[in-house]
Amino acid sequence: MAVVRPFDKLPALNSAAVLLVGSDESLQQKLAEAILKEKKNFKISIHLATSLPLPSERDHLRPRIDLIAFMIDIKSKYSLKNVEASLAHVDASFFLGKVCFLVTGVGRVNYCSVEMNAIWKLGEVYCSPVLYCELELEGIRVATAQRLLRMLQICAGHIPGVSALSFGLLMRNSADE
Amino acid sequence: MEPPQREPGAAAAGDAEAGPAAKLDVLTLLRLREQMKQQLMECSATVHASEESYPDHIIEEKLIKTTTEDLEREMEEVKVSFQNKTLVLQRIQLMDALRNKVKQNDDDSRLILETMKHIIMLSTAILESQQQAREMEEKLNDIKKKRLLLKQAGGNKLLQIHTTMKKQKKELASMEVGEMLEKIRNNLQKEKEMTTLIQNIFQNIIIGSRVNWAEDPSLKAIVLQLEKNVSFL
Amino acid sequence: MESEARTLPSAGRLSGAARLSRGPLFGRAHGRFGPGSGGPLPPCSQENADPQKTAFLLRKQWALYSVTPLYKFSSGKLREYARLLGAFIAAERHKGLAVQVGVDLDIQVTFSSLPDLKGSEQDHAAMLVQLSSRSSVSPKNSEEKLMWSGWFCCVSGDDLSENVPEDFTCLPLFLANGAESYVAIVGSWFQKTFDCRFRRLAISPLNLTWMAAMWTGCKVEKNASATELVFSVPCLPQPLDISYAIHPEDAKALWDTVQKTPGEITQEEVDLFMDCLYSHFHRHFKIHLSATKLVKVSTAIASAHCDGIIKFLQSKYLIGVLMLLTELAISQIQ
Repeated sequence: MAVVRPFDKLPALNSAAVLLVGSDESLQQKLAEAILKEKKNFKISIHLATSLPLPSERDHLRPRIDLIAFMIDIKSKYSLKNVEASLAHVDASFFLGKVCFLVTGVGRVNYCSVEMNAIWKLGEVYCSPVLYCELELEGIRVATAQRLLRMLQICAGHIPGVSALSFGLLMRNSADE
Repeated sequence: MEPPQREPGAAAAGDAEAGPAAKLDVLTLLRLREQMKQQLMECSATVHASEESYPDHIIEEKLIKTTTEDLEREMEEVKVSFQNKTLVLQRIQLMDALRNKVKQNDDDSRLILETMKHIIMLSTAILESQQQAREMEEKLNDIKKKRLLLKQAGGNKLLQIHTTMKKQKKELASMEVGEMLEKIRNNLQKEKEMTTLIQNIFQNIIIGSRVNWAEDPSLKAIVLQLEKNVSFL
Repeated sequence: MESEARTLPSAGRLSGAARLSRGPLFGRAHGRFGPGSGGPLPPCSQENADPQKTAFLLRKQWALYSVTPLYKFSSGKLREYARLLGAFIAAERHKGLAVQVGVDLDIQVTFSSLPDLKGSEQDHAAMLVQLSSRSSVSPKNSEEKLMWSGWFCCVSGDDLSENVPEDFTCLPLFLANGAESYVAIVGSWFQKTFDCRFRRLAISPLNLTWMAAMWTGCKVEKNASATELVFSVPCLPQPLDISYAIHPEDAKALWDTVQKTPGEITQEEVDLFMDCLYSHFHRHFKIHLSATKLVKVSTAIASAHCDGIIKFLQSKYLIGVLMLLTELAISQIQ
């Protein structure tokens, strides 16, 4: 299966799945652990991938992916390229609110290898929110984990009355202002 | 709590249970019901969105466009009639106000009356002038009409002259052609007579030579051909 | 977290937009002084200036600092400033914060102006501060020995100098060569006297790629030294540096194919240039250089380290390099 689709599987009861895509595996691991540490009243499965497409042989074991977070490190241009290449393997309907870009390394402009304008454009082109954070700092990592978790709940349809699309629009409106 | 699942390589389950399954109270069940409703709604929305076909869309769009155009036109008409009505109303109001003023019979009203009289005088003058202008225009038109008629008559006459001239020319030409034809016919007649004469001589020579012309096929063909009367060709 | 996330994108956008395309390398100065449009990379206004006067700036390592505008600075009082700074250094030493313990040296301070280092008319003349030592035992016959030097400059810093109130002097870039302890002392004197602030100016890898591309495109004489890029690999137990040396003519040829409009450089062109180099390296060594951090760029024009250290190698392109550094310093101040 070359393309990940948001609605080709049925949702499992009271559970949600997030897919983290990024080239830095240790940071990914740390973020995943931070998410697992958060208190929650539903089952969560976190899938980590360095790049897309996902291998097709284990597709039947994989639950429905509710949210994809692409991790970009501003210190590494490769991470951006990797994400750009992976985006081609995501179904268009995912971009109706079920994708976000996680930019880490913010606040260390002196180490910047990536043009910020390029990241901002990426968010604009793919109609998806860009979250800026610094995953190497404990406090911000926890806050980011909470944020992602909340988004995941919305994207998985756990919050009655709020869909991923309406949430995404809300975020966009507030960002444009 | 279990470690998260790494996709490309070896994997482990990444599920974190919320609590023991035995703790299913009413609140949790209600929450789950709401969750499932939301998920169902999202799924059905997706299905609906993917079913929606494009031609429908286009037709609908066209319909909306034409309706908006119609409505815009109607709006324009209503606007114009409204404007006219307000104009009429304003005039009526003005007239009414003037009439009331005149009834008061003070200095102002006298002035107004005088002005009105002046206006009436001017208006009649204008009317008269207009009448005159119209009469003159009519006369002018008559003259123009006459000129036009004359012009047409002249044109007709010219055309007649032209056609007569053409006819004459044609007759002249046809006479020349007739003469030539006559000559040609005479020539032809002469030739025909000569041919007949030669035929007869030739025939007599063959018969007189006592050759059995029926034996030689080419001679037979010639003799049989000599029987044809050239003047009937 | 929330507010940070919201303000950051706009900041990124601003700096990104400002850096999308740079004016012609050294061409800004040229456009202002030179007659009409010139060749592809015109040598700057410095050509009519005496290269001897700035020759001592070449082939030395300079640490970069950004300086906020100086309050009530007057270029007519340089002699007085030299005296005051000398007294300040002497006082600091008496306080027990000895600069060089054991050596009893007289420190001589000189301030001088470098009027040639300018990009535009609005720029303030550069200023040089030198500390030299003189043995106190025999002050007459001993040679003066230069210990430390630092200079302030501003090349085409119109963005900043047009927007500061009166009484302020814009010299946003400070370069120092010598012991860092002197930077601290001199810096603190300047901070007290002119109410300004010194900050180390690091050069981000993104800006280093700009430098690599811009300097590659410059004309240099033959048998120039190789263009060298140094990368450091992150997330390893031992530090690992990769050095990538390219023949300058090859690099120039590559850059010439990448650059579309001469006299203007865009971010896309710089990215493409670096991507070409990266993919060449990847074909041979199977290493993604884009995942590493670019730490140093050295060419025949100049060499720059991401920690904020620069070495000028060509007096012809000195003004051009300073222009870029001034831009970086201003963006750090703002």
